[in-house]
Amino acid sequence: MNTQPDETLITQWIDGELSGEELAHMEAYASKNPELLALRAQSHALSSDLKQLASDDIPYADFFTTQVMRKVERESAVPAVGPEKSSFRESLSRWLLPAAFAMMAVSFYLGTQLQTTGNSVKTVNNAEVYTADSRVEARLVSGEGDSPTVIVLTGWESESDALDLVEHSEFDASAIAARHRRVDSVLGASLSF
Amino acid sequence: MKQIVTLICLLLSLPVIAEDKADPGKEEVGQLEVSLIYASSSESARGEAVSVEIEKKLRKTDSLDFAHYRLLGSDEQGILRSYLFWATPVKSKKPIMVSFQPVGAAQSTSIQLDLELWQGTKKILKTDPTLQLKKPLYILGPAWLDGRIIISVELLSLK
Repeated sequence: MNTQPDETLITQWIDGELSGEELAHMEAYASKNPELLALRAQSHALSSDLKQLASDDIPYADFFTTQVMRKVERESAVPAVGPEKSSFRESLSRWLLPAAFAMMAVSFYLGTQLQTTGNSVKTVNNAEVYTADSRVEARLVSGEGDSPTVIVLTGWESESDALDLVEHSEFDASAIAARHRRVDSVLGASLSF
Repeated sequence: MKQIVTLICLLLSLPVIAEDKADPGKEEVGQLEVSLIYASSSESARGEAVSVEIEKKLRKTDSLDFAHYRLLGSDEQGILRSYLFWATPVKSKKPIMVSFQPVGAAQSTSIQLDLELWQGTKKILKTDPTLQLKKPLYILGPAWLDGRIIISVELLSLK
């Protein structure tokens, strides 16, 4: 048997399912092809790791509770130094949390008032406008009553041939089709309501 | 090893199996029309004249007030319940396209959409307007010839 083994035979060899003449043939072939030996070694290592993971009793549900309790126990075990004098770390922790909340509140307020243009988010009448190109600026004119809503774009340089009509057969729909395929491939993440 | 390969094959075939069944996400919840309008101060033979109704709507806003409006093309597409879809009003080498997908359930006279404006493979704009029936969203786009291109996005109907 000097023929090259097919994928099925190689897979069976890696899984240790061969015996007799087939096994001898594969071993002889593998000895001349060290990449196969490496592949088998990798497969066995991976299999071993998977078995190890499956056999470990990982306390997911209690993991964080356990970590917190250990932390509390360690902190409790540390004797207090000085009656009332607090450390810099303790002082820091006292004002850090309120300061963080204050920063978040200020950031949120600034975000809602943001009117700058180009590659930024605008919030006017609950509609957000984002320009992908920082050179393109957008201004939103809200349409109250019967007036239409208008987004005025500046800095968008249309290419000269962008609007030149072409025959239907010349129309390059590949870009659109590619996006459609991409969308189809992520249907699992599409909205559901 | 065999089990892993079988599992992978099964997972890969799931989308195909699922697609065969009726997909409520493909339910059409409305109709959207995207149009390209050439607005200019001088007369042009490009495209065709816009309707009186559209011209009236355009003239209501200062930023869209031009002497002449010509319709270059329009594309009417269904709004699918939970799928992204595209409208291409003018077929060109680098077409201006609009993608749209509902953000939530449609109301009686309005719907919020995730809306993106593209030129060819380049994204220009992303927004999430709530479109009202018969009240278009206009985007004043790039300069072209002696005027500007206006992209009109109008909710035609809801189901």
